[in-house]
Amino acid sequence: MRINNIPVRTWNRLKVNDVEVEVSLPKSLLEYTEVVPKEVDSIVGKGIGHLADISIRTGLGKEFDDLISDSNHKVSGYVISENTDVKKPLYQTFEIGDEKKALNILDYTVEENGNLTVIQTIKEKNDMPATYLMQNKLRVAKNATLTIVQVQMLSDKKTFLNDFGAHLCEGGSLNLIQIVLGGKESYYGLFTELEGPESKVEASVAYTMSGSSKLDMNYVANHHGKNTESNFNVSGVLKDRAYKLFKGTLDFHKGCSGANGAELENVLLIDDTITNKTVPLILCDEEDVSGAHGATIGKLREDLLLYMKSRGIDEKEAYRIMERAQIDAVANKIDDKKTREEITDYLDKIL
Amino acid sequence: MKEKTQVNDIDRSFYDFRNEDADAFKVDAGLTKDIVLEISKEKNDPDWMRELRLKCLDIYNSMEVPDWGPSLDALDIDNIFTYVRPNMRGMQNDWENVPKDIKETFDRLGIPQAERKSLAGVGAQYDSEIVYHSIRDEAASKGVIYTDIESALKTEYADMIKERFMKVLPPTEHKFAALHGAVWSGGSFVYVPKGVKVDFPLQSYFRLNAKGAGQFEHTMIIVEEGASVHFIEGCSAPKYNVANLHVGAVELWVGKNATLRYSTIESWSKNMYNLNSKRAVVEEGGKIEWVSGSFGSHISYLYPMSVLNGKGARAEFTSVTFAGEGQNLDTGTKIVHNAEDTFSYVNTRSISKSGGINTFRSSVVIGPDAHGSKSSTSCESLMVDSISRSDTIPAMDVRCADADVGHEAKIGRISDETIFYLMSRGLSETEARALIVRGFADNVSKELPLEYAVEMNNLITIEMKGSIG
Repeated sequence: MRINNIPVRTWNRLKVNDVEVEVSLPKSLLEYTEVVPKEVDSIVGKGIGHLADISIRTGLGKEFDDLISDSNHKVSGYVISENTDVKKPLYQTFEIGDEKKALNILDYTVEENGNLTVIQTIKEKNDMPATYLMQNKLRVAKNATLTIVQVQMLSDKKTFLNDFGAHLCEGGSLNLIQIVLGGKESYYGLFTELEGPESKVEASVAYTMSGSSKLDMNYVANHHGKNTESNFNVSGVLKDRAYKLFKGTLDFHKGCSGANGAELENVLLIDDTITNKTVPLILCDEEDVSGAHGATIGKLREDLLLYMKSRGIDEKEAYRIMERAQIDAVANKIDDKKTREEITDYLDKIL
Repeated sequence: MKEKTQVNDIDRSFYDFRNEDADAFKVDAGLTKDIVLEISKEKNDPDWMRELRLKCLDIYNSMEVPDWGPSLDALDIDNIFTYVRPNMRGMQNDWENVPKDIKETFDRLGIPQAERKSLAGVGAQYDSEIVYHSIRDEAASKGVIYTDIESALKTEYADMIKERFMKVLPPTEHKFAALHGAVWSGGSFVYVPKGVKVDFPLQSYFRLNAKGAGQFEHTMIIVEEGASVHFIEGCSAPKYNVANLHVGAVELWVGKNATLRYSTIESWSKNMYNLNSKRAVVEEGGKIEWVSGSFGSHISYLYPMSVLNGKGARAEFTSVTFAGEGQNLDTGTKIVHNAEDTFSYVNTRSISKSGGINTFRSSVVIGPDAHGSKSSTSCESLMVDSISRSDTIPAMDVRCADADVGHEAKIGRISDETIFYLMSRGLSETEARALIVRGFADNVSKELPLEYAVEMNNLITIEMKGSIG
């Protein structure tokens, strides 16, 4: 199937419009562990009320979503009631074992004025080849806030298809923090429907890719509501023969006056054998908006390198420090000490 | 109620006049092997050119229409006349020998006056044929060649043309490059010898008069080591209620430490499909400068490409695009860095109004050998009303760690902060807004010779009343 399709196509020879993957579903879902705060209702299905009826598009695209939707696998749903501020995070750990194929389908609903933080950690028990499919659908009601932290710590034998879709009502806010620390092939998608006025999405992604690993990202902010806001901040490091493609789309639809969108990308390149592709789209059907994109792609700045050398740090060590800094800058946004320490420990192991 | 700024649509009346259809000859509408052979015969092609045309026709028939740009569904090649010869035989070097109606056309467009005032040479194409070419003695005496390709094919430059024709821009590049190869006619050949600096620009002007016709001119410019030249092309057509088609091809070679500036002021009528291709290959220390103003056409696909093959080669692309009612202009650039220490700079502006659609599309590729290369892109789009559309679709592909790539894109209306700043410096709100809108297209007009900058500014008549937004 073809996934991670950009909303408007460009030259086919650039090979960025979409990507072909072979996907089939496992017979059963991956069992996972979780610590669920008492205010969170765990249910089977998409929650209740008007938000459950909303059809949510996802970043990996229609073909992948249809595959998931048409399966008989159950959806793990989580619902936060109105005016409920869940102080403790909902921890979830997905650990791939001997399965060659694994799948989880998750659905989160935060009702009006609710607040929830979810921390997902994706790991493996062994480094056998496997494909892991995950879909998260996020429903954020009026003035509610949902924070999703997702840390991926897979080896270079794992393929990971990671699909997000979100619908935000008036004043709703989604904060997505993703740390990508491995994987053989990783396909990340996010499609955010900023339906209600004043709704807001912020996605912060940090990655380090090495060996022959591949990371393909497709993030879309669909602005419909007035004064909506989107921010995509993506930073990372590429070394060896690693491949990264970031596609970010700010799509301003008619009527979203006062909307603001920004995409910022910072890529540190270490080896000449890397491939770094960036496709930042801004689509504008409304005059009273502001959309911006900025990208800085390259090696370490000479002045920074010189400064570090003057402090006794050689070039190799300087790059290692900066590689770590790229991850830390995003990891420090995670309001959970335990998760930050886990990332630090993992970085100590792989860098 | 806020009074909106009125940014006038392009005043096309200057270009919108037509001569009676008194063409001496035209092929049947459509595209068949017989039509291609008929054009080849009419052009008195050498054998290799006839074979190339037939090969291009096969490629055209085997390729798909692009699936990524503005719709071309309303363009039916079966209704296009691919070759229309005006009522004269042979290109003229004396303006007085050009037929009266054609001469009057170019007089009205100001071409002879421009030649006298500020050009080193001028070429004029009417429908499918070059009708006039001239070059100043001082340029000719330095060995500069400026003529039509058919004439050049009969000179010592024939082998040079054969060696290079459709090599930089091969017919396999896309369906319309193949179409061009099959039915091309007219265009210019420029050769600037080693070390020669041409002080005044050369200009070619393309006029398409015939209803339902296509224009397929081929431009080849070779600038040898250490030489420099500025080439300007202009184009216009009267408006008809059927589709006209422009599928030109421009192939440029910029030698070691040479400089070529290629400026275009495009004012095709709003029934025109402008599917033009332009490409430059730049050697060590050479520089290509594209300056582009796109104002006309119903639909445009236009992405001048720079291939930086030599160490230290440079490309600059500066453009302004104005899309008004009924226009869908998909424009941008492609740059390929193949050698170390190469540099590219892209600076584009677009204005959309009255339902016009602007798309900025670009591709910057830094190849594995392009160590120390730098690329910087800045594109800004201004939406003047709520019924227009503006998209930016850039792509960057970096295969080398030792490179520095920057990209900035902005879409939106004029910010209130900028207005407040200028007002704090003593300007009225109206003056501040007028200043910003007028200055928006300055990136291109300041790069043109004065006469052309004035012409371009005349194209955009901007009246400021109240506020934008």
